[in-house]
Amino acid sequence: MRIPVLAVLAASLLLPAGNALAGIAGSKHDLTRDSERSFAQDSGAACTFCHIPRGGGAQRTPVWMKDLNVKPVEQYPLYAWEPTQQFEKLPRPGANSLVCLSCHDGAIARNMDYRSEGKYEGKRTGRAGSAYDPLAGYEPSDYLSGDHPSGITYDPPGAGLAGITAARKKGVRLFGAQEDQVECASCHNPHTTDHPYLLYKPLNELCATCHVNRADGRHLMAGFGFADDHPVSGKPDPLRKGKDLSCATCHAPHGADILVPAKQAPANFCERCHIK
Amino acid sequence: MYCCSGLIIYLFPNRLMSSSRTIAGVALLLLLLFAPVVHAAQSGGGAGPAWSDATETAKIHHLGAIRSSRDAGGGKEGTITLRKPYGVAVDLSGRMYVTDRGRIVFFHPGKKRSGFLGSGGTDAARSEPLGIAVSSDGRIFTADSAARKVFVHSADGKRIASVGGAEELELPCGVAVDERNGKLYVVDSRKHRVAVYGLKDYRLQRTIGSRGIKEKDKFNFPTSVAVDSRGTLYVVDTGNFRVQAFDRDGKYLRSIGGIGDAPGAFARPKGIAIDSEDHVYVVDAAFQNVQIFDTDGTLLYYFGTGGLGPGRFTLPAGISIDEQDRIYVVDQWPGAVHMFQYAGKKFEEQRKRSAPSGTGAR
Repeated sequence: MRIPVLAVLAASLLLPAGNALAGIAGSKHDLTRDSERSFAQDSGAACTFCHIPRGGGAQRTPVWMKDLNVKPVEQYPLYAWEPTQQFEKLPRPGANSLVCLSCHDGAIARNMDYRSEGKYEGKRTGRAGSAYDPLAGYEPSDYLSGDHPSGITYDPPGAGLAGITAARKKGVRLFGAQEDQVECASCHNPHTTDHPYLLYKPLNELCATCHVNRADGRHLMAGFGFADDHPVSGKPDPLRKGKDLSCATCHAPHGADILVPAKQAPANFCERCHIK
Repeated sequence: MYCCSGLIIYLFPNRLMSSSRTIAGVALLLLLLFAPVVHAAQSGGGAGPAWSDATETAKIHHLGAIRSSRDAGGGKEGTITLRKPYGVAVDLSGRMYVTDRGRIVFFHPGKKRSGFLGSGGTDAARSEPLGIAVSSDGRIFTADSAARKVFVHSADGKRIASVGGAEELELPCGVAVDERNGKLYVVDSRKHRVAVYGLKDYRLQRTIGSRGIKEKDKFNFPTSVAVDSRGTLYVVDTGNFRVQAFDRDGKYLRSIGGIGDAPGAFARPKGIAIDSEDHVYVVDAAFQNVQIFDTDGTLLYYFGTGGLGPGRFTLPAGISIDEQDRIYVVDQWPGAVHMFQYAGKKFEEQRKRSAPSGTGAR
């Protein structure tokens, strides 16, 4: 009797890890492989690119520290952030986004931005940014450009977002000590999914999970006297060959313009598709 | 002076202040003057020294950081603020070049100048500069992953050559020059190898390494290279969590580090640089610090910890060390270059040499 119980226990413990591993092996996040073959005998090696095992290292006091009588740490904190009082509330990439960005730097993987301060990029004051005060020189505005914010607090009031409890119930992953931070992994599942860009859900569905005020697809043309809203699906995207229209046609979440509100759209934005 | 600049000056160790009459001291003072607002860091329980408690005997001193042209004392082309910098290199005159999302920015704190090298990012869509190196004759080498080339600029911003191309390079991301042996090393993270070019003719001479996990002289996503005074080539083998050393002929010598989170290990090794005493500095983006090794791979020291402020990094990447043993570390968020001084033999000698004369600034 003992063995089956143990086996079930073991299986139940291994199952989540096993699923993740099954997803990683051979995927883009398996850095032991390329498209043709695996370069590792060790099947667990794929995990360790992001999940760094403890230990390793020199096992003795660094020479200069010995001279200076400084005690070294046994382990370095990984992707840590020690807040100084002044910057405690600074929007910044959280630890799990830093894991992504540590490879998505253009050298190892595609360079991603993290314009969490995008909200602050609308109005520039005369002052320049300063090394230790990144928001110096920016005044908050509602205009978002660049990338979808990450490393920010999920902030439902006024933004047309689902309440935080409702969002959590719908499976939105929020991070940080208060579990209220939007990070890369709020939209993307690094352990692979069936959807493009490792998204948790199909694109429009994913956006509408949080942006509930857009769930019915009516926003742009509402009040303009048109019967329906601007289509967001089911028609070919004139800008991206082979793809259908989606929220991302106008609101590309990375490296383009996120337009809030629409009146601040750059000149000729509509003309990108509506060529006269 | 400090007050009218509106700067809160980081309190320097007494030892450095006492040398302020020396040339080195003046250089430091200049850096301080044009240094940004440096908030006294609260000494935290992090991994590395937080610079408020840097002792007189510490070998690494924090100097300041530059995020925008304001920090560098202004510039002719309006305000330039770094977006997401990656690499840094400094020429003999003290001009600092930073690769930054589709453009190469330069800061010259001593001359209160800043600007762009070459097109200044107008051609951003076709440019993704990453690693950068400078030769003593003032040539600037930039690995451009979008162009699959290494561009060579002269100090006046003219593009004088381009090296490589789609056939030879897939994702060039790190460069180093070996002037003694006339070599230009380009590390390619997609071909998992180092391409060796002639420093004069820019012709491909050979390649070093191929894809492999854990095997010696094979690479898995190598990202950075550096060369020491003896011509030893150090390659950061990021995806194998180690640094591999090769002699000038490309023969494998040894390996430093391995996966882990203890001092001496690596989790996300990135930039690499060598100081005047051939110490090897390796940036780790996960540890948010810089580890210093000797040529044999023995860990000497580490500095830096996670956060924002002096000696704190959030997402460090490139590193460079200039002729005066000043260390420049790029932090990709919020986009800044941190500056430190290695107070080694060269620094001490310079201090002693210039102290008795008492000539002060020049």
